[in-house]
Amino acid sequence: MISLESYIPALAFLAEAAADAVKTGASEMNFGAGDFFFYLFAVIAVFSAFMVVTAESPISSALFLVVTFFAMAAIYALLSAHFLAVIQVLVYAGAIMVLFLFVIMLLDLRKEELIEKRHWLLGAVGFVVGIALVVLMVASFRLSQNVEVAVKSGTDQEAPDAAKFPAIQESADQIDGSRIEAARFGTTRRVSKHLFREYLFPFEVASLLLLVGIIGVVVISRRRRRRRPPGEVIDEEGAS
Amino acid sequence: MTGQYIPILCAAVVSVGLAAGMLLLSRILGPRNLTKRKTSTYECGVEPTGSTRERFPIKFYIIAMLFILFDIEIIFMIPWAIEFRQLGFLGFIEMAVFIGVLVVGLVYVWKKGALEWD
Repeated sequence: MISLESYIPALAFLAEAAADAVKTGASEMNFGAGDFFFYLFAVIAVFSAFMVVTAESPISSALFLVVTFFAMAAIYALLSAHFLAVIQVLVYAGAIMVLFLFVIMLLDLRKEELIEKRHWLLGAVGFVVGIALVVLMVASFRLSQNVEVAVKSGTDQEAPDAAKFPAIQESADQIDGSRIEAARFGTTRRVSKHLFREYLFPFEVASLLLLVGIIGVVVISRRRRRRRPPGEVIDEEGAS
Repeated sequence: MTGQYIPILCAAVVSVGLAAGMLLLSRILGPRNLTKRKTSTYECGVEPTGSTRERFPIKFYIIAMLFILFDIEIIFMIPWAIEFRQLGFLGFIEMAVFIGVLVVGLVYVWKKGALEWD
């Protein structure tokens, strides 16, 4: 969880990063194959996300959302979160999209209704939420950088010096070692170890969340039982 | 590290390319003369009545939603199954509690009759 206080340094960090980017420019960037694929899938994700918002028909928005989910899965894979990438495709692009399409069909929205129900307040709320998400993203980026430094200093023998200059003091072996470590980071085994040892309590709470979902769907969508007229013939065994 | 994904990338490129290529080729090569009868929903068959956008019964939604919830339960079981031996008896208890909570939900759904189609 990211507390509210971390927003303020995050904003400062955002300004700093923007200034840095202007100063250094693109010439100093180290552009590899991994970077190429990252930018490819990032562009696909952002473009299709944009199309989700702007598409006229709800069905085409939903289908563009599938594209976004696939691009996100590819980015997860590039970040060596292998398990998460597979789950992203199976659950989000598969199951959740089926649900979205069902809801679109259930609601039976027509074009006129969609246009009528737009309200200026929704736009304002969307703007505020969007700003908050950008700040959250920057804050989590900053936090993840700190974690990276901590991991590097943890693997090094001379921890205090290495924390200061991790890139210079790391020998070739250690760089290789940390790369292998990074590649294994998101495998199913690693996820399992973290999930069932460190994050045991959130895991068990997730079951309660699922239980709430199960009860909620039944409560919301249950049809009221009609009383059968006395003359009707009941031919089912399970009729109550 | 990302080299192992090259086959998946190849498969994705081939499948998208194949689908796009077939659509494109049929558009370029196929002759088109659209008549009123040809553009109708069923060229031969029953005349369609009413809108295509029919409202669907809520039953489909219940099934889809319950499917997703139990699908996520199964997904939590995948990492557990892979590390089953290393996690030992404690891991077994952890998963038993997790499934136990969800069995309560299953019993609730069953008793409420949400699994019955009619």
